[in-house]
Amino acid sequence: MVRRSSPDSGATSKQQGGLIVLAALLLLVAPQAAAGDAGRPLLADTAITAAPPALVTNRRARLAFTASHSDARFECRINEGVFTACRSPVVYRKLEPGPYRFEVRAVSLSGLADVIPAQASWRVERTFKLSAGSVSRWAPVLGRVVARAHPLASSPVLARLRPQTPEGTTNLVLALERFEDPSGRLWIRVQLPVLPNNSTGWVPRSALGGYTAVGTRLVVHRRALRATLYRHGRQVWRARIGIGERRWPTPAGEFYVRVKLLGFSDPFYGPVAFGTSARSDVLTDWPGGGFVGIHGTDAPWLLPGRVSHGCIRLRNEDILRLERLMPVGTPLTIL
Amino acid sequence: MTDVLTLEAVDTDGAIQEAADRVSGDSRAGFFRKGFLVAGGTLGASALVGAADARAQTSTDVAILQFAHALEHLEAEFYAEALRMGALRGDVLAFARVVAAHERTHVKFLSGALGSSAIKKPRFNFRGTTESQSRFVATAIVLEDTGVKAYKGQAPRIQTDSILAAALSVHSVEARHAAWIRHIAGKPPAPTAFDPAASLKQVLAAVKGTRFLAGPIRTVSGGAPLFTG
Repeated sequence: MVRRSSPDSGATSKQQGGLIVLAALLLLVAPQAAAGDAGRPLLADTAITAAPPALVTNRRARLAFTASHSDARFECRINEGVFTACRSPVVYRKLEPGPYRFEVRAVSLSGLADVIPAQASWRVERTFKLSAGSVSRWAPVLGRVVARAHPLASSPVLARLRPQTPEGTTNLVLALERFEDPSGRLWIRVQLPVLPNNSTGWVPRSALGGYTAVGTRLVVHRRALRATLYRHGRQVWRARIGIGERRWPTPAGEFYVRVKLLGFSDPFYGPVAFGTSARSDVLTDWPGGGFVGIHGTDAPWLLPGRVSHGCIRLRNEDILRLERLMPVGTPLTIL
Repeated sequence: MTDVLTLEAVDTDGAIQEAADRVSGDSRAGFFRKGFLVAGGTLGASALVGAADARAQTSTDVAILQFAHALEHLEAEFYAEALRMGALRGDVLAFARVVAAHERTHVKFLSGALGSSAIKKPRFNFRGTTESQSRFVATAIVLEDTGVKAYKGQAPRIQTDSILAAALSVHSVEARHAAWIRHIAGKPPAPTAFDPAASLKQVLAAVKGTRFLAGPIRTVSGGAPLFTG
């Protein structure tokens, strides 16, 4: 619980001194206004329970708060704006880089507002998008490294990355954006091949190799049982597909292709298989970790349909054509 | 980052070492037969156009051009990536735009000159130096100074006059780049009355020291799929 301000936020106490004096005067001069008939203070105390850390790259901010009176309402403002009615939690989106100060005050049933609003301060830092529009960039993982929730060495660990995939190839990550911290250290936010799906995390730039740009994107429509490959926004390939049965659903979200397998002898997977960063939410004990693949089949008559354990199945002629068009590192969107 | 590069790093790709070996005399017989042909339309400077009619008379000349080609690949890709990474601003950005075009032209010139003997562009990892203005400036100084010393060191060994003329025209442009970025960084553009040349070994060590040459990445395997199927 954060009272008045988040302990890990950059909250300022400017104005607080004056407000405290004001509150003390109010209590001295009009004690009857500060306490109700039942002995409950007329002024509700306000506390912020969730706020962004002092320095963030996320342009979305969520703030939660509470009051000592359960029947109090709230008024909020940001950056010295006008207090307006609000409810916990408050979410701000698309915040521009810069400093922010959020204030919230509880208003008790008597209509009196907390004279010392709770406040939280943070700063949204500017980042550079490495994958934007039709161009995406991937980079190899050079060694074992942890991915963190924020670009800070003290930030919580979200995942541990290895330099190799379960198939023995170089482990790749899709590079999403870059941040240079005040000490000059570079951090890269990457798409993580971990559960829960759609996770992203920050790794030091030094943990990654050089970038490779790709202009392709594979989009899978589960409801339509169709996959489409785009190159710089233009459709270059399309096929009907098989996806996971309802008990082993193909997960939705943003992923990427991280390995291509050729020349293996298992006809179940057809002549070519791509490994992706997507993982089954159900078959987590599958050998290799339950990664979702895109591959051919020895049972083409089942396609299109909900026929797999979560993988995306294609007719062999379709996967062979896709193999010529889709490079490793291609982003994958599953809708 | 300092101007002094370490010598301990390894050229994992081997491209520069291979080119350096050729300069040292370990050239392929094919170089003798290939000659020195420049693809039309890639040259902007009159000095280089003059070189277009030249023929490499010796394996040493071809090998020196290959070594230069490898270095120009490094410089061209460094500036190209720096422009793509969006970290530069002001004078530094203006410098990078101009020099990127020059280095790209140098690569085209040498590619055309070497034909099938041209060095394939290595895979690079610029280790964040293209993603921060301060790191970019420090690295650009090192690369440009190294380029100037490299051309100067090899010039006396070039045996064909037209190739020497072309090399000197590139050398002077590299020297202008070096002075320009030094000026931007607040360093003396021309710190000494005489520039030292760098031997092949010294240049190779400097390039290795950057650790910009990345090893191969294995993204394709013949192993059995482990996917959920």
